[in-house]
Amino acid sequence: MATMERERRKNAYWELPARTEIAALLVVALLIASYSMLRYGGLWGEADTNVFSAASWAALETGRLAEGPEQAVYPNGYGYQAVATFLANIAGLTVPAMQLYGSALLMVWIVVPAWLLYREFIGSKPGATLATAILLVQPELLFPVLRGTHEKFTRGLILLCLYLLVRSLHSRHRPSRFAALVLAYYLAIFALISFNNLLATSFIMVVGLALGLSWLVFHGNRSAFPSMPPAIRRLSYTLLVSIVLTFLFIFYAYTPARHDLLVLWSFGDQLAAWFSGIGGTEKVTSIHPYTAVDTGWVSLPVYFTLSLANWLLLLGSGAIWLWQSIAWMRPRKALGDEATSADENNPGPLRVWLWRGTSWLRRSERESDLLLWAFYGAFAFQVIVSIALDVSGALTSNLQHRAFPSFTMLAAPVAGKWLAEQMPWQAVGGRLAQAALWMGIAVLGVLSVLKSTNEPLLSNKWLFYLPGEVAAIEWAADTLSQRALWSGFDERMATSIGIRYGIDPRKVRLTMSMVDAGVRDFLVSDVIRRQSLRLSMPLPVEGDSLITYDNGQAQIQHRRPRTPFQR
Amino acid sequence: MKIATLRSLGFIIAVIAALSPLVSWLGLPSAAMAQGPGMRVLGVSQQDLTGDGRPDLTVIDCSFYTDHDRVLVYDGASDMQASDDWSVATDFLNDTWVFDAGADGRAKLIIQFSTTTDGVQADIYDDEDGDGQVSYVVRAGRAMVTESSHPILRITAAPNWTRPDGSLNYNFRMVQYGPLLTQESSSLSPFLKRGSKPVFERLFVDADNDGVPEYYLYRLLAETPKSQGLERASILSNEGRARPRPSPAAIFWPLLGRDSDDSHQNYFATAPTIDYDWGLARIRDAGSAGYPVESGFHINSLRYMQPHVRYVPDFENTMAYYDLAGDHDTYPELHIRHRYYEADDLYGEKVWPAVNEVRYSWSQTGQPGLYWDYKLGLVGRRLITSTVAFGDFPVAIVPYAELPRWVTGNTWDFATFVAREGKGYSSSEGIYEWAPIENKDQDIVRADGMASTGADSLSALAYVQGLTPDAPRDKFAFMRDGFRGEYSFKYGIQPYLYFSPIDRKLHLLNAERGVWNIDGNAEVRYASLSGRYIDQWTYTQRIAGPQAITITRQLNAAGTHLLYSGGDEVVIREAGAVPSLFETLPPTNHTEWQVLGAKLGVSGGTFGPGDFKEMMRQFAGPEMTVSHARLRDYRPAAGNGFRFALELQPGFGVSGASLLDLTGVGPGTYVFTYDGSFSLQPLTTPKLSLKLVARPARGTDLLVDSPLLVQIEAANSGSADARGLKLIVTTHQGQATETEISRQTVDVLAGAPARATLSWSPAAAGSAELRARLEGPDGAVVAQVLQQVNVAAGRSDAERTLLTVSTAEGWHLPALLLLLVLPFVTGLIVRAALNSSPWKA
Repeated sequence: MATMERERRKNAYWELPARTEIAALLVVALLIASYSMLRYGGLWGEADTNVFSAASWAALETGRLAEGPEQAVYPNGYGYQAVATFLANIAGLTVPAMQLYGSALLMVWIVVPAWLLYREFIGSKPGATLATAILLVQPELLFPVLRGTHEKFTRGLILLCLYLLVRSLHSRHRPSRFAALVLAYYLAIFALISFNNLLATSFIMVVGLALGLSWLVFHGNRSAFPSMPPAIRRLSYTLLVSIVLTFLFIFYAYTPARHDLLVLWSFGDQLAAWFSGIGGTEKVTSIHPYTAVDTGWVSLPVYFTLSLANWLLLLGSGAIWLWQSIAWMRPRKALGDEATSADENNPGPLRVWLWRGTSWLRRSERESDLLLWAFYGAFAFQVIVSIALDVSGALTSNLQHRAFPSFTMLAAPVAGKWLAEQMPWQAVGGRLAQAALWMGIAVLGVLSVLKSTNEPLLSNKWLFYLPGEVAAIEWAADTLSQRALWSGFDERMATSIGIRYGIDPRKVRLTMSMVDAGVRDFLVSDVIRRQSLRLSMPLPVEGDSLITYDNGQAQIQHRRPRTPFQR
Repeated sequence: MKIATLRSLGFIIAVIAALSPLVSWLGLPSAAMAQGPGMRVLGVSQQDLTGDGRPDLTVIDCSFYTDHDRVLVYDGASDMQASDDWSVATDFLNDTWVFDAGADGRAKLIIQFSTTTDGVQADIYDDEDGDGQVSYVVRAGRAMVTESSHPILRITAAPNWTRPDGSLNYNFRMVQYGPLLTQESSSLSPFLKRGSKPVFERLFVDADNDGVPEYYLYRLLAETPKSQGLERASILSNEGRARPRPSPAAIFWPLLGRDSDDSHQNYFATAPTIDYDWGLARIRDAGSAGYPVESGFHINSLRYMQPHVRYVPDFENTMAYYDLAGDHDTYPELHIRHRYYEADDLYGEKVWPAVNEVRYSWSQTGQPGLYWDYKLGLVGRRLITSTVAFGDFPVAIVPYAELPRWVTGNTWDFATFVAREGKGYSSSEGIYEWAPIENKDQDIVRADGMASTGADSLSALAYVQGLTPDAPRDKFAFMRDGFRGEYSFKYGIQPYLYFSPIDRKLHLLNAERGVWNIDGNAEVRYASLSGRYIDQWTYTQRIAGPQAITITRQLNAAGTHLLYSGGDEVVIREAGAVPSLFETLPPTNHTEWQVLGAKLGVSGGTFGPGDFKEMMRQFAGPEMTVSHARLRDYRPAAGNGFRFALELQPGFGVSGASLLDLTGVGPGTYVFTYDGSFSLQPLTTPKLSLKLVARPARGTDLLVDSPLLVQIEAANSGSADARGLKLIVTTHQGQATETEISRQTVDVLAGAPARATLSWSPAAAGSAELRARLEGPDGAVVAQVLQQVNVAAGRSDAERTLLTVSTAEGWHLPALLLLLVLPFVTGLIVRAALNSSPWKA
């Protein structure tokens, strides 16, 4: 009794109000965002961020979302541009500031819908906190939400939509709240569509898949889920209305979405895009995932270490889900008929541990358990299909990298729920395990942050640049008008320039092509030299090239003309 | 009839005839002037449709398309006169002319005439809806077109259609509101939509009103995609002041009806007309016909033309023609085509600041018809700064009168020269062969005996765009039958030609090589081994048959000797033939043309193309003949010397002067070198060696992040030249596989080392091996050299420095602190969550 009392007091000591837990998680997110900002001091560039910079610039300058063929338009949605324009007008935030600093800081908001959703799924605040913490240490999620693209909003909106959906199911008996939640859901789903209609469509497909999975399980276990029929009906209505909203958006509200869809792809591509949420511009900037792993990091062990959080979550949540699936497929015992034979027969500690560890399988299931299970399965199926498409090379996009973040958003509560409820933390071994867990998550957080910021000591894909490189390119824009400048082995400088300065690319064309014979001027900087060493790729300059510009950090070298036609 | 009456009648007729021009000048209702010879008026009748006692309709039974056609002329201003003479009864001021070809009651064409504030207007309606007729209704005696709300063509003139003397007034404007028949199958077709918006405009201008048009200007008005290179503007300029003759096929109105012969004339020979397809009831074409012109030029451009904006025509900036002979025989003797694109032109080669490709063709022999004797193809990079005004359109072209001197007075980057040696072909645009850059369909190349059209111009394009340092010499490897061509990429001079006293032909000064395709089976190849003048001729003839035979002869011209090798003999003549009898620029005017013609007439030779012995014997001097011998590998040597290899077969004989001392020399192959006197040595196989030096491009240390200059020298200490060798340079570093960094073909001549310089950027620090090797034609290695180099690390890739470089100034510590705080806070939160789980109780 005394031990239990001490434990109870200890637990009470650690139990925090919901607001405090959320606030603490916000602090963690803020720390992650702040590190992401400070690591390069704002001197970084990235391809998709540049795409949205261009779209935001265009919207700000023209005051329109799709002015004409000369305007940079993001065809899959206008939400991001609208937010950028709003922040620029309200807060005086410039596009570079929003993309380089705001992009990281704004990701903090996803903590709130995540925690709320997880609380609905798991049914407890600690579980929600644990799941949210697990989510925040996933590098595959951190990378897209820390950069200046729609994903910090769309991932959060997916969480919000799921929260509103599940919450509305739980509020069926309170009509006014139910109505408000349903309306909020449709507003949220439209917001999601407006940010990226393809990601929204893939989410809607997931809802459909979840509906199917839920129905299957319910059909086989009607008695175990007496409250499912309304939930299934609710999912059906949600699915239908969402499809209608998507249709209206693509074909009426935002015509660039239709153009991209109809012009660019075959039916197979369209199907895959809807399924995976890959848009037009993302399509062309992605590379094969396995090539990226092999060449993108200093070594494979480093890559696996940095992405350990993903692997552990994938394997752990997968095992839990499978176990649960098997359990639900087996014949069910009636409610309340919880087996007590183990207790009655005085089993050993191990058996007790196993019995208790699996007792949740035999407890009366909540509707939200089934929903969590179904949505996890749906997102997991999306990942599997993405992997299959990537391996087959059917699309040129990096699909699994796009599908995995959404998967992690449902995998986190599966793992978090199990960790919060089933681990026998009270046992001696459990305390050690508990310590290992929280220390492990802490360390995984650091590893994930290093991965999501492409730490140059560990990654071969560098994002940062030197001020001297920009100065050299500005000089080239004035002096090498209408010519091409080789600016490095990748799009690092082109995207950095585009985000920060928007230098008219028509003045000087930045290229990373190593075989473009028309390129006669080359940017050679400290960073590019180091990249050359890291990538074992020689600099494409000739020994007798002329140094036409040098500011100490960067040079521009010009190939000697060999004919009257070479400048 | 009494004589007095006849006289009076004759007097009256004469007065009327004399006064009719005066009537026109006074602006009285313009009588229709034109009645082509093919058109016959069969009868004229009139009708009063309104019952006011005045005729409203004149019906002209005639024949202009079939044996019986009909034209209904409806009065437009109640001024129709009663007359059985259509030219009196009708006018082109306000009447509506309905052409019923075939007299089947269906209008095939309607022209509605009207007056404007400053002149006259004709709205032309053809069959828009494809029902084979032009619909109209007659109300209150007036004809109203219902086929379309807009004419297909609107023509306006000021003040009238004709001048006081009855000739056509060449100041009129044609505006098109849809496609004409000939345009429907062109690339413009999708953009020429019928409607109220004009799609095409043609201006005809006679600014001084002397009845001779100065120019015609055509421009596209319809919107088209910028990315498509379509013909959007043309100007035709009548520099020769040719007076167009009226169309003999005119049907009542002088602008209607085109003679089938017009297209075979020059483009100012006949008046502009509307060519109508009566069968389809559609306008086939409108404007001038004919091509080209004896004295004048035209422009075809892909860019839109706007008034009052300096217009830079691209594509055919000028297609100019000159009557060099001054014979006014309608055929020009000089044609200059200037193809021009500025660097920012969407459709051009993007050469800075502009690219000029000139085709300068002229006829020297004056053969009737459009036959050309010579052509220069020139490439340059020169902006056009001059402007010539065409009314409201200032156009950037070299003025017509200055263009020939502009071509001959400027230097050019590279050049081709083509001469007609056979019967040639008639062409309205000069000689097409060997365009320096363009890929012309007429540029027939012959390879392996098979003729094929089209020469690969991609290499030429890449060269002028600066993408490759390799000149496109392969483009000029073969020539069309009956033509001779030469090229030079080491040019940079004015387009001088010179006359060779050896083969009595005009050649390109500074030519590198050339070929004369005599008849498809025999050819002469030229080479300039010493740089400025052709000094080697090689004749090859292939005789097909059961046993194919190839006959080869060669003539080499050294400064002091002429050397012939052919069949089984070698002939050497000590004769100092000057390389050039005269040098000249191509003719730009009549005088220069005459002078050049006279010089060529006097200097021309009569020997056959491969008759090198006769060429040689034009020059007096001692001659030596060696039978059963063959001369090869001739080349100039240091100073004015030369060298060659002489193969003496068993039983060789010597006759004539003892120019070569072969006393005691047995059969074998020997190298003869001349440097004032001949010296002899046995031919020995090439003894090749390589030297390799690698040094840093900058500074003194070999660093990994700095390129190295690798200099290779290949020497040949044997007496035989080694040609066509492959020089391959590779590197090998650490565990990496051997990497080839350069491969090129080299000739290593005896006593003349070949040098190559290339750069290499080492990818890693450490020891590296550089290897250069020479491979023979069979791939066997004939020489190689190895060098080890040590590459220092250069800039350190130490983590600390990378960390420094990658972190912005002043942010190192805060970032590190955050990285330390993050796990602490995260761990705390997770621990709290684990400890406060409600299931723990």
